Amino acid sequence: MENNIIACFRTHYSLGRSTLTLDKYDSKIPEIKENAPVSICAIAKKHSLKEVFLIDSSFSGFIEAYENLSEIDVQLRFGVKLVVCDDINKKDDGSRVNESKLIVFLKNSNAYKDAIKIYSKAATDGFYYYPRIDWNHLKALWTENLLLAFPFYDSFLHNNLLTYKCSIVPDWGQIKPAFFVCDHSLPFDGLIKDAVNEYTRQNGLEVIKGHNVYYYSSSDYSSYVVFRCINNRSTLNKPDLEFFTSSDFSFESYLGKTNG
Amino acid sequence: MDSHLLRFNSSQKYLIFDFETESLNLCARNYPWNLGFLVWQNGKILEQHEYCPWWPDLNVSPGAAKVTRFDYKQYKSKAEDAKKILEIFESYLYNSEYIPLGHNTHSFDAFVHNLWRRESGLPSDYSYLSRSIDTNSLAKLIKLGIKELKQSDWLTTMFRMAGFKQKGMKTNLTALGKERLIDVDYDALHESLNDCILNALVWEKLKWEIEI
Repeated sequence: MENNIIACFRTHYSLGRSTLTLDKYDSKIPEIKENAPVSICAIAKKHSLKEVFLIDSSFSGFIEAYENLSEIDVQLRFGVKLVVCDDINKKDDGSRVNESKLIVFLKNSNAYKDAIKIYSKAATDGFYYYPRIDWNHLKALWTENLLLAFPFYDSFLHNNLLTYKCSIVPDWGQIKPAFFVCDHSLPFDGLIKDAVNEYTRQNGLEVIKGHNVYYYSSSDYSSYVVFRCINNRSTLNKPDLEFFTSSDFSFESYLGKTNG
Repeated sequence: MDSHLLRFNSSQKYLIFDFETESLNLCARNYPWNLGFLVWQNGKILEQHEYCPWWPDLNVSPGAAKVTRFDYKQYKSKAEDAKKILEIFESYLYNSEYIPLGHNTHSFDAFVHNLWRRESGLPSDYSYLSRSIDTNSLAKLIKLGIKELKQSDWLTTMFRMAGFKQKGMKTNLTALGKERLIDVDYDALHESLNDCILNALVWEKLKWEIEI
């Protein structure tokens, strides 16, 4: 049991990634309903969470999250997950080889404008299948109001380790990033964890223990799988979701790992 | 100088295994209805096992049934207690005397085995993968012109290549067997034990094409 693990929620605003919503907490229906989408606000209320770490791949749910969590006195810690590439002006298949992901967290109430500038750059000039930023633009638009973090999966460390011919040399300049480590019972988790621990040790960087939460309980897993298949335009008999082989992404399993 | 290479180690035993399953789903329930495995050493079969684990609610998808020529009556007549079969299989799989080997182990069979463990109330245990060989990953390395694979890099490389795809690169078991002029009945593939035998013969060729 560890009590210093952060639950990293995602919502349905990260298209096809999570079944969790940001619906208002309804005091008339305090219980989390079975066979219905679960709201992060209801989870926060039920489990007396003082803050919620929300990492989505767009800002679409930000206002809703801020308003609905504020209403129940829960602090929102928002991060936007972006694809980072070598050069946003290169838009061909070759440019995608060295893509990875990072998270831009908003540290304070002034951070929204700063983060939006980065996201806008990524979603306009950098857009190629999805919003992308490069290291140079990231550094140019960076401010003290933001915190850079690397997710456990799909970071440059993960991709350098497990993607053939991927060779990313990150350049975040003076920014001091933090790195998430997780354990979702996937067979290569240990490999990534070793790489993160070694890299952060060598460079004196911070490691944050996290647990990705995409649905509420283990009983929601089958709905989540169907949801992923629909979004992937595949079927349950052939989901075509590479290495999507663990059911350990629920809030319930997060609770199992902490004292919560 | 190359005595460490598996091609020269005639005493090394391999556990060559393959599952036939309900579907290609690796996220949720996907019962293996047929498990075949061989103990292979120095080009010979020491033991061969074939089991049909019993699942009362087995539901083989039409696609899988067609490819594997699944026959429910035959399955039912052969089926045995799934937990007992798992125990037998794992007594080999987790025994470090053997190198587990399969085709697509790191992208399919390992996860099917994990789903079976989950179904039996057991936690995930992929510890055997660090000493396992996926001949599909190995074949991709060979086709890319890579000449050497150190044992300390097996796990990372097997996963790296399991996720690698290149247009026109054929590394399925049939293609590998035919390319190497291996004479088996290719129409009888997708029956686990037949697949294991071809996989063993393919391995006997591959180990001379890369220093492993």
